[in-house]
Amino acid sequence: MKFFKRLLNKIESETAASNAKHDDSDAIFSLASASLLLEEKLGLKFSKTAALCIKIINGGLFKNTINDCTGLLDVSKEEFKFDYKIFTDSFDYLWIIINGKDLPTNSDIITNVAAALSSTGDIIEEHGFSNQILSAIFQFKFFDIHNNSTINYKNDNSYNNKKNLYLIYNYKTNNFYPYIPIDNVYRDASKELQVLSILKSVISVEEDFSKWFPIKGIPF
Amino acid sequence: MEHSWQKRDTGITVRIIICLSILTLLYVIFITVLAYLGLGFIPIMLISATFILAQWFFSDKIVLWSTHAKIVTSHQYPSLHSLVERIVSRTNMPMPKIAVAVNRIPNAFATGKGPGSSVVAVTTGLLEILDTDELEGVLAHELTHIKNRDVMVITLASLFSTIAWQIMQFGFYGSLYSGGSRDRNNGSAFLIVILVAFATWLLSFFIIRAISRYREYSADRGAAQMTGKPAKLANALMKISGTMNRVPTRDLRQVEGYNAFFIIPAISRSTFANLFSTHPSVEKRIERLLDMEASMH
Repeated sequence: MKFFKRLLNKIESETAASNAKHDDSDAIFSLASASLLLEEKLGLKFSKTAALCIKIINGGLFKNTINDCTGLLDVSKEEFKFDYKIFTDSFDYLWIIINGKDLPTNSDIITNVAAALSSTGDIIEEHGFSNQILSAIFQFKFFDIHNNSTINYKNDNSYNNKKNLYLIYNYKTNNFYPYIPIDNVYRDASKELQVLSILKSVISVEEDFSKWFPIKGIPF
Repeated sequence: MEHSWQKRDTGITVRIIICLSILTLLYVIFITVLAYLGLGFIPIMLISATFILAQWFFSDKIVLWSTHAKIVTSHQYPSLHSLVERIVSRTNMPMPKIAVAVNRIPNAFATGKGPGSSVVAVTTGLLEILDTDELEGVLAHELTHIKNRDVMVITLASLFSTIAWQIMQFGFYGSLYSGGSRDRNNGSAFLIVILVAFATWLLSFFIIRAISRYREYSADRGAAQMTGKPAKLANALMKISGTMNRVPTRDLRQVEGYNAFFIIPAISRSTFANLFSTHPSVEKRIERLLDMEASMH
């Protein structure tokens, strides 16, 4: 749970003291600079949407945990400028989807959204369900770099309209990896490689391709 | 499911290496026999020079013959030709001949004495699995080998090792003749000659492999510069080596149940294996290409 601890350390300084050994507390800023890099170099913009994906356990304890999470999100959504919704997928996983609101800079948005995810993750961890958290997923969209240009770039236009980048943070390996689905079966490995090459200097990425498991039918 | 083309290929490389090694071995044996028969320094040098020149001159024919690659015209493979034409016209190189080998295993190689008379060969398996951008990357890699005159570099490197070996050999024979005790020491002296020759050959074997690995990196680099798309070549390398096969298609939520997959260690090849290989590991090449990609943006 290092990532969320690191994130939390940044937000609540009093817990930072007790977790001094995990002093790698730059993760949230790394995420912000990662989003800046993606925007600048690949024309990928944080879509203001990210989610926590959690395996559902039947029973009251888990239900209470989720209620606590929504309680926290309800009281903090004004201050941190976001909305959220809950979704259950066909694999019986619960998605807590955070939608950031417009702010002057994109870095502020991703920082707030990540903070909301980190506090949610922390509540789940406090209740002893940390093993149920599968991943945190950040969505990026291609924006049209050649918007004002009359030149029609053969690949880019069709590409930008269809594809999203999902930056998946694997909760068990503490690493990020890219996932760009083309459809339900195929993925754009070549673009994913570009993302990896750009991000590996700013965030901890999964360099073992065999662990880049897709998450199909992401509900946002 | 694993297709034959996804397996790590060694077929073509092994065939080329075996052919050239047998030639080298024959040559070494022949010269050793001549030297042992007491032929003079000058005639032996002339004979070896002829051998090396012949091997260099016919290297492309030997390579094409051993891989069953056939020269094809622009009518047979128009898109392949135009792809190569576009690269060579951008880099101001003469157009090489193009050969295709009917082989399911994806591979490509370049051969020839210099930019003027060279051949770029691809297998049908390569044409099947790569898209245009990836194929362009692979072709640019082979064209960089031609541009850098890598065949000549390796031939020259082998030439130096051969000369070193012969000087050593003659040194031994020289002291042998002047010693005047030829008959008595004959057997053991011959053994020493063979051993030293073997040691020299072995050392040059590793050195040539080190040079070759370095040439591979610079060909990757050249290809990335020619095409401007290092990630595409990295992608092609992933496909050719079967690394692409390792990018999973099963959903994370499906595999999550089997917790075991997290502890499978990445397969690492030993440094011993690396010493023997003429190509750096695909992982290292991909890593370098991706670093280039990152620095380009």
